Amino acid sequence: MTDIGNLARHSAREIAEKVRRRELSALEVARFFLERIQRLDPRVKAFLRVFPKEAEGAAKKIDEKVSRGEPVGRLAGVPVAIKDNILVEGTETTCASKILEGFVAPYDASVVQKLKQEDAILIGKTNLDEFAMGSSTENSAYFPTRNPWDLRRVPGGSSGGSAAAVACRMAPLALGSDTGGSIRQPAALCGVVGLKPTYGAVSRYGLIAFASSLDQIGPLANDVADLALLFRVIGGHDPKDSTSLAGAPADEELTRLKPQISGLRIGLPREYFTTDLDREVAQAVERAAKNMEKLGARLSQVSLPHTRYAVSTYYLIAPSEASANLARFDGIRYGPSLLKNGKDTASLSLETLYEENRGRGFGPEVKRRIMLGTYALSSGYYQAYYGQAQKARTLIRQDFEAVFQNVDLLLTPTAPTAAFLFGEKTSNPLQMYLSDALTIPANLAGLCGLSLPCGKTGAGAPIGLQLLGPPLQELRLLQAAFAYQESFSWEPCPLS
Amino acid sequence: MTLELKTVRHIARLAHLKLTPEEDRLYLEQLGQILSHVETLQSLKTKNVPPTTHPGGLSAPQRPDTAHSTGPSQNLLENAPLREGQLFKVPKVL
Repeated sequence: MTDIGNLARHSAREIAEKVRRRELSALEVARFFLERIQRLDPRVKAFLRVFPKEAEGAAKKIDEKVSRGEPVGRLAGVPVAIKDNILVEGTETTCASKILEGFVAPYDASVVQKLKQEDAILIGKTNLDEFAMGSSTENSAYFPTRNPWDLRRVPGGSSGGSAAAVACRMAPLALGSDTGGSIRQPAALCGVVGLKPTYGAVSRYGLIAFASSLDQIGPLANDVADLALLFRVIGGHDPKDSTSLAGAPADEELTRLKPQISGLRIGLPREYFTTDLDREVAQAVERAAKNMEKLGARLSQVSLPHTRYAVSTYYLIAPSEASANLARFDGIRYGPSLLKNGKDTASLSLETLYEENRGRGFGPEVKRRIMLGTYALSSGYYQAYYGQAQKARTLIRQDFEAVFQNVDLLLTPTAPTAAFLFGEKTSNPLQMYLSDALTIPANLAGLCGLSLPCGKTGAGAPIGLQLLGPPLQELRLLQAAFAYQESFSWEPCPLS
Repeated sequence: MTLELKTVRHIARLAHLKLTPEEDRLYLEQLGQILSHVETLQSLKTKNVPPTTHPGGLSAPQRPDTAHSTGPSQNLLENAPLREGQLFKVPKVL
């Protein structure tokens, strides 16, 4: 039998295998992680909602299936935490915004349906920056999440709750979303692995939209093989999402991932190693590059000359799209509303109703971005701002297309610094935006990218490296990351 | 890039956001800073560059246009702040 106290060190693959073989019951697993959440989350605050009853109910059903000798899914009994901008039918989904307080999801996101089909246990909904807008989870309208490695520091964002939950093993796996680095940056700051799949590789049906030409759902895990398994489960074409690609990357090679880095041509873009980079971060990534070379990778310096325009491009395109996507939140069909307060509808104009509901419901960062996007799209400014950003986006994309003629993958730091302190960047939005400088280009170009731990600062904060690949080359990316991970010893987060 | 307060108020109206006078002043300052930063894009020569509206250029697969049931509308209506029977109730529009 398995020592239950040891479960926190188990991979998702091991848990599923043991549940399948009846060495562990899914109920024991669910209770173990629920207890861990109860014990650790008051300090970390990664979860907005936990589902103890539903999780135990689902676990019992899986155990019954196993005892009847029926086949069970790839994630049998594995608890998965879900970012709270992804719909789970019958449960509240808020995007960490007051404007969606009390909103009960009327259907499951496609990724959630897939998790259920594979017998995963949905254990709770995780905190985020409101509407996924932010890099520290400080923009949540409910509470900030803390970094489990150092509770005085931010976990990154916007998927900070998911990354923190995985880092201190309150769940072996989590889903996040990445619009400009919202999976990779918190993964780096929390010392876990996170994948932003190619634009279109994972269905977004049931993801509350932020910036539709950039948003992508992706997995977070403690090791690369678990990451590949969760990507395998959620990936593939979905007729309910018109941007979903055919040519699903979901295959057996992802389920039984093999390390493979020897012979790969890996480029180091010089624009990502500038003086803005923290010295310890630069050193850790350079050490990782040397390690990869020892493992047989062929390194070269490359150039992506339009990198310095990426943040500006992103902060015009993403807010523009957000201002349109968030127009639907007006307190008519859902959410807190003056209508609810017994206001006489006859005395209210529709305009006033919209303005009041939105003015009260959205937090400061969301309003800032809606204002910015509305400005960039407004008459007289459209061409100079939004139009010019779309053209800059083409140049950034072409940089990558050119460089991927000569290299298979790119290696960069994930974030310019390790986890920063609470309040350090909140007074200056622009400073916060610049912390996404190294992750944004992959979203603009629709690439796949992942972050994995490659060291720690002197103060013990995790440092992440980023690997970027051409569209739909997730397998190559994951195999290389797996090979690097096997060569590198990593002590998990000590919080217990 | 200097914004004027009346521009901030105009944008807030377009965006259907009721802002407090403090918010007006805050966004006047912060949007000004952000817009100054993004001015760097104006130095790019883009005369013959086509815009990218979404990444990739990979084509979306087609599917037969068949009718599906979307399930009961009851749980959609249950989120409504105000309703009358099977309808959302809103202020008079016309």
